[in-house]
Amino acid sequence: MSWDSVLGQRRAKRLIRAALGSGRVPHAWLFTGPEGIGKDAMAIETAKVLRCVAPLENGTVACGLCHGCTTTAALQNANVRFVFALPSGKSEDSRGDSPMMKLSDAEITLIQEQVAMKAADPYHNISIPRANQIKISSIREVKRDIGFVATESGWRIVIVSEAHQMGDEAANAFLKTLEEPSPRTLLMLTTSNRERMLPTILSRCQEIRFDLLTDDEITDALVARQGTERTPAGLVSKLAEGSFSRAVELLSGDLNGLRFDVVSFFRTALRRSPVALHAEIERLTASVDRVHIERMLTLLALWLRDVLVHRLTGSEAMIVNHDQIKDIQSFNTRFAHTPVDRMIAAVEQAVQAVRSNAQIPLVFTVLAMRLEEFCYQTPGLARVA
Amino acid sequence: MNFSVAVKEFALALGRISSATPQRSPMQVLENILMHLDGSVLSLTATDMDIVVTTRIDVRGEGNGSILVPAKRLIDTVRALELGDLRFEADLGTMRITLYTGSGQYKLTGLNAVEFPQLPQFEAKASLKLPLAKFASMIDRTVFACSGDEFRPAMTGVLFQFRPDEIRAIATDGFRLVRVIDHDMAGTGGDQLDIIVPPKALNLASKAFSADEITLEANQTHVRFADGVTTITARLIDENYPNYESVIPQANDKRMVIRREELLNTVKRVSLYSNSQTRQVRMRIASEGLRVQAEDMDTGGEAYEQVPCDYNSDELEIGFNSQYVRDALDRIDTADVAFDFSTPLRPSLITPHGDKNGQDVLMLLMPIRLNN
Repeated sequence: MSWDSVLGQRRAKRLIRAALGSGRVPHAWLFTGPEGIGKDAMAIETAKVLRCVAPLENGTVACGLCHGCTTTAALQNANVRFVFALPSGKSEDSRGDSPMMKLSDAEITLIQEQVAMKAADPYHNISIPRANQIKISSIREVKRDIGFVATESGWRIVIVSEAHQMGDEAANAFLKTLEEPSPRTLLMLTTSNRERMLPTILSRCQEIRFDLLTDDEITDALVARQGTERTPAGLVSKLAEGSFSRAVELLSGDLNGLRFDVVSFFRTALRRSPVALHAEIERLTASVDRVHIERMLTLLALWLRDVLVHRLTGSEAMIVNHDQIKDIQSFNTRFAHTPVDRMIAAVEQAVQAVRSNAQIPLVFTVLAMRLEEFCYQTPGLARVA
Repeated sequence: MNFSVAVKEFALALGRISSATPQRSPMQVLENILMHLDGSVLSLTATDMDIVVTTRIDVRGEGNGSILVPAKRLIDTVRALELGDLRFEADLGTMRITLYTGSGQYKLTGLNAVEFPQLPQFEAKASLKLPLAKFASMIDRTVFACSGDEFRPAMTGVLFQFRPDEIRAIATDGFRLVRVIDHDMAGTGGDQLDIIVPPKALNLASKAFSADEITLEANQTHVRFADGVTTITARLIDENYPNYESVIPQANDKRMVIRREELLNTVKRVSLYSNSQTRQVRMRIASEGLRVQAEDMDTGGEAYEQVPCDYNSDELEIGFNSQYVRDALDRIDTADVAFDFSTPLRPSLITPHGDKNGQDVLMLLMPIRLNN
């Protein structure tokens, strides 16, 4: 029952439940995979099973009702420690001070709020300004805590969320804890950036790779959990790249506006009017937020994908931008032989350029010219000249 | 759940438990005090998950029940109130709390008591009564020598060994070691119990009590100190303590006896001229007296003093961290102390000389290697 709170991830669930059922829980698990696919959610659910007073199904399912389950879910269980990146306080002494000692009251309140939000929704990304590192003092606290008798009897669990945020010093300090596991203590590390982890840490954990969520899993979850309508849910699931939290984030943004912006940009590009194109690019790139720009380009690629799908299958079933079906059809009638695959590649190149800090209006101008070139099969530059 | 109480007594009771409340914790619930009213007895509990402090106070109560009250706000309010009577009313449905004083009222919101962490079940294996003063001196003599290194958790606490005819307390950080044996505080029940108590709990225990005698109870997981009103329960450090006995030298044959106060003051003065990193002082011991010397190459400062002492062996030159010498001498209460040396690179022992006051104190100091 309770495992349903973790979306998809059938393979990972099977592995974890097998370990719980056989009583052969490793001393340390490392959950890897992109952000927002449920690594923390899985870790919290696993902790619930271990803290549950009366777990069901051979000790592999948390009852969800007892003190152990409810306090673990709320991240307030005495035996469950949730470690995450924190900001550094003013003139903080990384050795002497406890991790939250030197933070301001406002920061403490914010941190407590974020923990509460994480507890309410394990897919929530904890975001605290200036918190870019898991502090060595947090790791020291873990070490100290493990040295003590457990507060409550039974399992003791440490979840290190986004463990790659440990600096070298903190990671090395953590090694000792990983090396000398205490009985009935489970360390769970999660990371979306496996490459940034020390090899010495990787080699001391049992790694479980998490899979990207399927579009259907994300759509269903959005409908069930966020009360989203099926059409927009389906659309964002395609854009979310397998990540539930990204889907939620996309939903909260002005996705529809963006989708029409993209079509309008494309249309202007094909109008062969440098003046209009310049004005359009100025309008679109007024926001300097690169994530926003990137998302816009991804939407363009998705629109072009719809064109390709429509051209190849002739059916409307697999079209994402359902409400723009007329535009898609008319594009396909008018430009029946354009190499859409190469156009998509051009958009992807533009995304790369944005990521590598290229000047955004320039990226858009080049992209517009290339798209135009593909559609009319004439070099755009020659015409401008 | 309502009660009336004198502001002064309420403030005192809150003061007894306030130090257990963590100020900055990701677990918000810990920033609350658990109040439980049973008839005319109000019990107050605070915890940081390592230590639980509970105290009792007599009130004029009506309606039993429990509620969590924000610790800082309540304590700040009660401390600031004019003396007089305070009436506390809590609606356990809405968790609204109102404090009435003669001149006004204060409203705050509490939390449901079930959110408070479960407190440890405690079953004593060893139990004894001990005079607070003696216990406090045992703590004072050991806690300072604990290690601050989390990577050797055992040494961050004080080892208590309960034996049929004595109690031992041991602390070490690898550079010095203290062993205090008390023969008068023999325990009952726990013949061979060894526990490692975190220093924070000990510091709290040496300050929180006002009675002359306290009880100490312990088992493998927890230790509890109580004086009838206030109870401190702490979780123990669950590690193996190093075999400290093997470190204590048995054959240090060069004994120096010296006036404690005089040596302490000398070391204080001379060490002002020692290197601020090493704090090294050099001691040259001969039958005509002890010469304490320090120099700091960086600033060019140097100092020495001659102190008379009682010494009948070969001349010896040995280096120490002056802070460690001061820490040790500060915690011995006899007029004379004895130093037992063997060679300049082996541990030396400092013990009280003369009247022992019921406690066997032994301090071990590792020397610093001298360069010439």
